[in-house]
Amino acid sequence: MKRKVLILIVLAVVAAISLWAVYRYVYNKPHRDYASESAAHTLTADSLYRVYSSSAGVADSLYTGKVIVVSGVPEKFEKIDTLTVAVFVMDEGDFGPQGVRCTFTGKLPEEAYRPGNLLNIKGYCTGYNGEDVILESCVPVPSI
Amino acid sequence: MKKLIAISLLALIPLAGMGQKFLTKTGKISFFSSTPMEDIEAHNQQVNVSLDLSDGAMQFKVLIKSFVFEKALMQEHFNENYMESDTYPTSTFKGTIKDFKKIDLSKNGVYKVEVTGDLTIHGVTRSVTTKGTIEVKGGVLVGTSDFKIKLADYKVKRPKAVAEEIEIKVSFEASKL
Repeated sequence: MKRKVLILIVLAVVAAISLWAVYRYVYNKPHRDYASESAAHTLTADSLYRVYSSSAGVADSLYTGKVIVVSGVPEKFEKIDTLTVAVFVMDEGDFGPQGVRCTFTGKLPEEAYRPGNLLNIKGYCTGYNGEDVILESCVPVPSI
Repeated sequence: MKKLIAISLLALIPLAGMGQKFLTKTGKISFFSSTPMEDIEAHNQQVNVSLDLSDGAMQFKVLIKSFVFEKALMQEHFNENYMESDTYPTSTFKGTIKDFKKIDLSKNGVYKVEVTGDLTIHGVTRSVTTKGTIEVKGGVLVGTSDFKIKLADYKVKRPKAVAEEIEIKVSFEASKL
């Protein structure tokens, strides 16, 4: 009798731990920390825009959904709520100047904002919306 | 000489339409739905918006992968299972503001507007009409709109627990080109 009770208790504990693990690691799994991942590709913002605007299919398979590093001199920075967007302009379109847009959730170092400064940005490429290539969860990286 | 003047004048015609186009790439779209188990909420602050007050044309374009959910798993399911964003990466709206002529850019003011156009979600296009507000504030156009859509209308699969209709909120601040 005692043995049976013991086995039941052990099973109950194992079940409880499994349920908690599924809750913690699957249901409540955290968003990927893109800043800590290594980049699949490194290229200039210019090249990135060129590939997406001329061969979106090829660009998709190479860059969409991947962490990449782009470099270039931003045309300007836009601020919305707590987000800062570094805007690289290569072209004109239906929605105005277009190119590559990199969204930062954190603060950028002061020197990043100096006009004409080359920035290296690591971010998650969410793809091309027909006008701009969008990178999210961006962080500045030191020069390669 | 006359030809030169004529050509120069012709070249100026496109300028007549300028000064009426307002744009932003940081428009915001949020959607909400509540289920018995949890609330579904996502935000996208990278919406392309363009308004042309010379003819009332209004356009929106949003990248589905830019919708952010609090729960990573929900965001994954949203993209992979429901919106199939690899196949349908963007959602668009192309329409016209009824009564756009009443919007006076020369002074601050708030206008209730009705917008009709084609809304494309998940590759399906439907004609929709929604109400909203456009405010002229220091030369910037501030727009807001709240409306509901039926997921089934756009062939979006939904888990049984999720309501048939979801509420969408749009807001943006568009500046002159």
